[in-house]
Amino acid sequence: MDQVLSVDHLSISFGGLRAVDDLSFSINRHEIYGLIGPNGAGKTTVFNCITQFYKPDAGEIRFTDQMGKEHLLNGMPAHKIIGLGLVRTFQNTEIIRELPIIDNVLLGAHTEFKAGVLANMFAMPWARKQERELRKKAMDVLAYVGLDKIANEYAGAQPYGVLKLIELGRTLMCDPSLIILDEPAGGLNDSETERLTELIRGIAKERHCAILLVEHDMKLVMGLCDRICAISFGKKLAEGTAAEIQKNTLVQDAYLGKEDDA
Amino acid sequence: MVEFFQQVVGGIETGSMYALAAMGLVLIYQTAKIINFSQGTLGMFMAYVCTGLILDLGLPMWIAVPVAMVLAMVLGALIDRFLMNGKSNITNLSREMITLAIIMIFQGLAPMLFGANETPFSKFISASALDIGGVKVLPNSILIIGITCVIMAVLFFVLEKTTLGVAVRATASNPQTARLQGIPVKMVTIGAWAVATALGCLAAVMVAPLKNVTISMMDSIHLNSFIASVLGGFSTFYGPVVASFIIGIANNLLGYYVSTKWSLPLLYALILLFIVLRPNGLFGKKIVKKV
Amino acid sequence: MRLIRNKYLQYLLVGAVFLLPVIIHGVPTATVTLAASMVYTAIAGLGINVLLGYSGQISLGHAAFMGLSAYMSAYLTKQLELPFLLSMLVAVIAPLLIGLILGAIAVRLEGFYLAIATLGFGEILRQLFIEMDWFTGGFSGASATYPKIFGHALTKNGMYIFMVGLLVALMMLVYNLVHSSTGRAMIAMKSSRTAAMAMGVNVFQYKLISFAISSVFAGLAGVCYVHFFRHVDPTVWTAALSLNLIALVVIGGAATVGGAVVGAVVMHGLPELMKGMPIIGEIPGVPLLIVGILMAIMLIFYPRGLIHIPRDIVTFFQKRAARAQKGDV
Repeated sequence: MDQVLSVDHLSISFGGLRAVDDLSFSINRHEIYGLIGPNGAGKTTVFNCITQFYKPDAGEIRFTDQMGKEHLLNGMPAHKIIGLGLVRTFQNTEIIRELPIIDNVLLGAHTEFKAGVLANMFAMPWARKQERELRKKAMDVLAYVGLDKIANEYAGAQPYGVLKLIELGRTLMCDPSLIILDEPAGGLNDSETERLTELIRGIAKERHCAILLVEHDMKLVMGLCDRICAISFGKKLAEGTAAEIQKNTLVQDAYLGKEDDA
Repeated sequence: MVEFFQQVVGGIETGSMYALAAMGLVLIYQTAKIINFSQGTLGMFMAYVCTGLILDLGLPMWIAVPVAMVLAMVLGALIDRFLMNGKSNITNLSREMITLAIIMIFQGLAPMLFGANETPFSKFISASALDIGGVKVLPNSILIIGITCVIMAVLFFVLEKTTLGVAVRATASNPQTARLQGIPVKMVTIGAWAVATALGCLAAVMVAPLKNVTISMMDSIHLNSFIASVLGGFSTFYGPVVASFIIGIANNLLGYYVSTKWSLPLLYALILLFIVLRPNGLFGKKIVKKV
Repeated sequence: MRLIRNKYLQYLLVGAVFLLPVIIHGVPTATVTLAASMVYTAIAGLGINVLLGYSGQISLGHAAFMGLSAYMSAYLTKQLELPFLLSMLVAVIAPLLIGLILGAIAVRLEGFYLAIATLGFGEILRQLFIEMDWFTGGFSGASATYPKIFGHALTKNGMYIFMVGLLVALMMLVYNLVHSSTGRAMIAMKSSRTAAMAMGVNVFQYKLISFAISSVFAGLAGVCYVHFFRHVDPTVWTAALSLNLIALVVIGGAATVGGAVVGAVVMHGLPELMKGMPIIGEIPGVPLLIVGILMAIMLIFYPRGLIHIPRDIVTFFQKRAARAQKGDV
């Protein structure tokens, strides 16, 4: 199985605080990989380092794209990451409230648009054609996540659960090989979480992409992930399958606590 | 050599006025996280008020100025309470635009309430220049520099050594955490606006003798206080103050040795170049944004 | 109804309304002058709307760009005797280049740096306009004539028609821009820089693009000004004008195409109305005060701008009708 992402000895500090401490893990193609840890363990920080929103103090992050070419992500400008096939969502659902839902999803395809400023200003026919095609693709994606009926509603008026789905749909527009989900089930109720689990499973299988996710909902994590990495205070505690992680005493001490704490 | 020191002293004096205004800017920026574009205009308006206190109510200068400063504090507090935070979901961009609206409001109010004529304003001390080693220094200038130093000392003392100062710095560092710690962030921003407006008022009455009391009297101080904040870096309280003096002195020196016409553009160009190389200013620290 | 929804048609309609003063006979020339003020202000405002309304950046020095192009066009047509359209093109390139350079520096930094840099730039340029009298005529200013387009010499009304045509064309271009990937990137950038970057938007590049567009529009407005009013001097291009542009965008409706037009009409129309009034017209500073208050009210209570009033009224009555039908009222 080949790797799509490898994180080697990642470290970053803020002021005197070691947020991530010599963390290494790797994700295989088509794998659903989970990152768990108590609050403040550094999970979102890891994501920010991978996607170059933060620049790590040490360590290397390598990403292998669809073509099999390996890229060193360190030092890349944050906006270039999505072009490689690596896309992410945010804990705080960074949604553009002023735009309709479909436009939010279309934003995910930004790198696909070939038209520049002038072509867009003068409404060149080929630019309009591409806009129509990608708009159709966005509608298909919205249908997939179940939001096609409200495609033209403003995103700002939507409840939290819908915002999460919009963000999820947005990631699919660029045909990614790795999707990073930051607490996708945060704030969702049980039925919404179940639907989300099915969606994620479907995405991984049908679109042949790997998924790296951070979640607090243990049922979702254990049920969905092929492999899991547990961290605490920025350090790796254990890595393995759901069963292995659950049995690991270090993880139990740091995080899982008693058997039925979910 | 004498001329050099003459220019330096002059530069420290103008630098003082820039420093007062810049301190106001950075106080509001650190606590309320917005740029108060109306700093200069509000100062100008309060100078008009002060003139009114002196000419119409017959108050002596040493009473009128503190009274005007207190009124300025009230004005600043009201602006923050009702315009900046009138509705709870205003974006910071909108707040900054409201400060632009404030400029228009007070530039419209000033001639309406006080008439369109330029009014002269006398210096604090009218005594003639002292001769210190060949350098001519007005007692008024010494007073201005002295007042500024005292105010700066008081403000920095409060910021560093008192509980109030801790509250301000905590709000500046992270408003949400500060709120959780029980710090009344709303009061902190109101206080910052009040102090900032008073500082602007003081700067305006200091420059009033030179420019007369007119709508554009604060333009030069206003612009330079911004440039000073850019040069000094918005992330510290002392940065813009130090930079203000640098700008005041540098402008005078450039004006004397190069050209008075081009001293300011030249200075701005140099600062622009500096900022390109060091985006956080002289004393700025890079702040990593939490995503 | 459908036809009126089509935006291009709406803009043509706006143009038609603006053309009424020259079509209807017996309209005093002062009205055309007033309308021309609204038109050139709207053109500049359109640019500021792209910069502020859609991309969320404040510039306090756009008056300088207007002045620069005005002086250049006057110089090129008068001293160098270049044909009007060519000189307009060249005159607009100056603010474009300066805008790109200034923007390239300022947009790397926090948002307020652009505001401060443009404030300083505006002041320096205003000084330059006074100093460089070989180019600008100093305090007495520069003059130009009604232009000749393709050999056809325009009258005052002709120049006005040209301006209106330009405004309508620019409105269409901005509409296209906003409803494209470029527009989405800008709006995303304003709302959530984080999301924009994660979706591949090079924020630096797009900030620069919106700044460049706004400076070109300001330049076009300046060219229109000098060739309609046939005279330009440094007192026009002040920080107050830059501030006015922002105010009119906010009042009219930021992030809309028509907002700039609505704002320009209000901005110029209101003082005119007030001049006629008995007491208020006498007091100095009242127009500025009213505009400032209006802007503050808009920002706090009605941030989407005056242009949304018609639709909001319609929606209000539609909702009432729906409720009445359901028997709730």
